[in-house]
Amino acid sequence: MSIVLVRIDDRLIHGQVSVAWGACLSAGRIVLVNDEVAHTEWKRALYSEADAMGAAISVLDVEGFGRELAAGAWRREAVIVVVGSPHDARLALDHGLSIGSVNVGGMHHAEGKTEILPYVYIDEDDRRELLAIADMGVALEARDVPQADAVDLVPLLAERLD
Amino acid sequence: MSDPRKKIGCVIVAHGKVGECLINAVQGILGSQTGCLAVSNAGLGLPELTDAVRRSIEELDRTHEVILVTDMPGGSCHHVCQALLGERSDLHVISGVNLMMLLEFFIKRDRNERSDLIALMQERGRDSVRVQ
Repeated sequence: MSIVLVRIDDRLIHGQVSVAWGACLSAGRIVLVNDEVAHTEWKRALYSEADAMGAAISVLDVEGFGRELAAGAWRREAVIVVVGSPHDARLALDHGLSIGSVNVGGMHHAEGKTEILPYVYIDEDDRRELLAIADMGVALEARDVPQADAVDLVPLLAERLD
Repeated sequence: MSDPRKKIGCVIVAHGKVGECLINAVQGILGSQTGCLAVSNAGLGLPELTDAVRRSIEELDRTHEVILVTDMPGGSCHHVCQALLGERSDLHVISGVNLMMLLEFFIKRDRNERSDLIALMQERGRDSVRVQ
């Protein structure tokens, strides 16, 4: 198993992921872990064809992702795992994902969310999930593109948002 | 011949705001980039456009091997660049710019010779045109 990046990004697989991170890390596969996409045929088809740079794509729900991990999938590939929310990242970790840090890439503006970085807007639920991830001993590194500076997200999560 | 001390740079010569908008789009995906300039043909006659391209090349070419990138084969931007090939043997022009072609340029430019990079740009630019 060779997971080279786990990224939270509400755009799921898009240019910054497949082109910027994919090329930087020479990723051979992008694994999208998202129940809604995995269970909606047209969305699944859309994302399965998404990679412009030629990486293979897998679309799995959280349960399926856990099963693949347990079966020892992707041992010989450099894999980027993409989830759409802190909640899904925490679920993936609960399902056996083992990684030292999670990249927080894009959580865009939405009603009821507060800006903590120009590309990271969160609400109290997000904050709690992120803190739960940090409590597992996983670093939270905010960075939209590879050449940007990484920002430790934990100090920005000190205040309640509700 | 390529010069290993120089990075590879590009000048995008295109209609309207196509060049600067493409550079903005690239930087939104890859982060900020150096060694890339956009020239627009808006409001310029052929001599003025030629001068503008020449100035951009001169701005880059002390530190960069330059690739000229144009939007439309047969357009004024491309004609001007082709004419400049006659002045300088060290230039190359590729037409039909699109976002994937440019992304390929920026991702691969540090690991390839200029002529190989141009071939990669052509392939990626073509491959990104898909019908579903």
